[in-house]
Amino acid sequence: MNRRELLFLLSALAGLGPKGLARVLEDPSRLYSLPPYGDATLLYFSDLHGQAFPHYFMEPPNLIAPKPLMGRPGYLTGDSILRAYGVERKTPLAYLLSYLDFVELAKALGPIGGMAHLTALIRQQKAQVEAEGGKALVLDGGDTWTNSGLSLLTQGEALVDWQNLTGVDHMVSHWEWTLGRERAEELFGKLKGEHLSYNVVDELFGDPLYPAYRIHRMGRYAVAIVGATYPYVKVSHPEELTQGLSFALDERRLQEAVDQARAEGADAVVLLSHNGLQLDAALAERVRGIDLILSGHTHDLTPLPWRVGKTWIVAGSAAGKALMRVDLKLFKGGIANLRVRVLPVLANHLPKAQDVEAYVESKVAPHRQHLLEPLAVSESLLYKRDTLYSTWDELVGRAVKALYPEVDLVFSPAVRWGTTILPGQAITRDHLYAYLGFTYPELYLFWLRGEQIRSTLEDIASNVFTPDPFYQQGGDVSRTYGIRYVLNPDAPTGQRIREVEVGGKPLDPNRRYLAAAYGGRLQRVGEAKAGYEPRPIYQVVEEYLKGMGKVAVQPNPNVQVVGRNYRIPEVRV
Amino acid sequence: MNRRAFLRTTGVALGALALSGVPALAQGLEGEDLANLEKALKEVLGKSFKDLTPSNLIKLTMPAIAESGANVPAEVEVNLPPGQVKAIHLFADKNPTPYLVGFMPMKALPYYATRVRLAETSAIRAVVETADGKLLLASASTRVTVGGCG
Repeated sequence: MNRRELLFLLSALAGLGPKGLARVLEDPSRLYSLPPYGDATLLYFSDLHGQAFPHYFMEPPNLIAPKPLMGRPGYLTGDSILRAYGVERKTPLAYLLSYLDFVELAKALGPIGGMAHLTALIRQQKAQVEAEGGKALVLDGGDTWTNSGLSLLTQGEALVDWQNLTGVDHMVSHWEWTLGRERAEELFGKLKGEHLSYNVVDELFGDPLYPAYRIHRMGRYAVAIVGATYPYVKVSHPEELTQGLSFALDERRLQEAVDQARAEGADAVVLLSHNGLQLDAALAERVRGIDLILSGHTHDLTPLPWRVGKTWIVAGSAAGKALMRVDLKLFKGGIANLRVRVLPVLANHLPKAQDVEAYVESKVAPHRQHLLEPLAVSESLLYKRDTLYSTWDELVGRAVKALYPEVDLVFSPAVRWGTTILPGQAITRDHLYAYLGFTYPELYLFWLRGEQIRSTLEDIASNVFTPDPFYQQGGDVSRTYGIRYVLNPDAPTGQRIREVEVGGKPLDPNRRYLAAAYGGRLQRVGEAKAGYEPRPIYQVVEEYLKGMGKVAVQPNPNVQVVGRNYRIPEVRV
Repeated sequence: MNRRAFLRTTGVALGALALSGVPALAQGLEGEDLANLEKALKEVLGKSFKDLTPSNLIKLTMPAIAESGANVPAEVEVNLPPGQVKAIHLFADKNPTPYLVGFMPMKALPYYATRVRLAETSAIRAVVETADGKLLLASASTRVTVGGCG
């Protein structure tokens, strides 16, 4: 990347204040027209989570890091992420990167994402590259098929059709497997592109079930794309969904795949990964010969590449927010240099791919009323992402407690997907599916002893705050409602959680409490409540919303964090 | 000049921000329970934990996070010539019965791979008895979690 190009990027995207914003809005095509660079182009996105329509998505106010990892990409938020990348506030890139000024920017720049818009942008970029004699690959970092109304209505199929219309060359996977092994395998068969995975293997014999890599001729060079599936599928989801499969992290097998690709003539090796940013950075230090990692799962956005050892890392954003354009300058043996561009998917300023628009319409039409009927109006900002707490999860907690007053505490899974609802916006079922669209949506009620509650919170905290990424399972902290506690992320494992209170009283280790949970495996620890029939969480929240008509949630975090500044976003305008 | 000030003044001229990876700090061994392990060592080998010599001749490979505690792959490789290894033993500190398995390679290569069962997050020990009567040790730790995405 040379200085002039970078200046252009920063002036177009990030370097200008509100005045520059106005200019970009007058002529948004400035954002998307790039001079050619290098020998090969990768058009990369990740973690779309089935979002068919343009929507809003606010970045987390807090990403609390274990102390030794503080300041690394993946743990930067708000002001720090803007400073780290030299981005000014109130610019289009600041809108994508930071929770600051979110509502104001959402109103000025409009919603992000949308399948028809993302396809149009991919096609336009690909055409640009090809017109200049280059070659571009379209790479999908996974978590594409699930967690939306459109996905649930079609059991993921609409997303595969969309990938085929868009021309996805390769994908990797995670939540795809929650459709169940049989359905996932059927849909991989329907995919025109290719699912790559070095680590989906037969559980008993260890035989690989998908190609680990594919080599592409790109100009004078050969580029290998190696695929890595999320390694904790079995730990994170009901294991009956993936019987007979293993997804375990296997450095030796990954090293073999990289070495084999090089032996077959690959000049550069690119790992298309769903490991999450921290685990990818740790792997970059241990596996030899990977030039570039395209890193999904943790929904991070890295406007500039991160260099770890001899490996570049670029994260792929999420929710349809951005298309990452990565142009590679190659040499015999690797990547000489690269240019990374964040192309924001600002739906109001991009054309729509007509065929995708028509396809989505055909799938949605019979369900339009069901998906888009307003259930209640939100008077405050409802966001999901944060390490510990969100106004959306607080709302879910209230809903569960309103319908089941006997419940003492509610656990809400800390998935990173979802959407954001602006103050004054109506909440629809499509929003409920965007937040709660599990293929296993049941809300369980079960008894836990006080000691089990404490050890569960410790277990979750150790998965998030262990400094060694190999021991992090790659999620945020499950949200809780009805309890309060003090968290010390720097304490040793087993001592991070203190002063737990349930319903305002100190936790009694020997008492039984009635817990509610969904979207995880926690219910297995407890003893099911007799006479309660599990029902989908989105139906529970729908019933609550209809009864309320309007809702407002002031952020009131129930976790006190020791040793960190915990930031609370502005939720009302 | 610190990095922040550097970025503020020269940010736009910065070609590519290359933050170097911070090596993950070495963790204390998770799931260690020497009291429980000690009983099993006494029973199986008639020895104590302090009689074992940590050795990098043994390579013990365990997953950091188990896919299922009921079925955890374990692999031990001893970098000694065949015939010099009398036995390979595996222990899990936290299991109610810590002794997992023992293997006598005889004249075969001193390599053993198997599946073990872990009751909870635990330290795992590979203890190698050499032909000349030494007891070598390698340790690892495997986390068994309740699960859920986050």
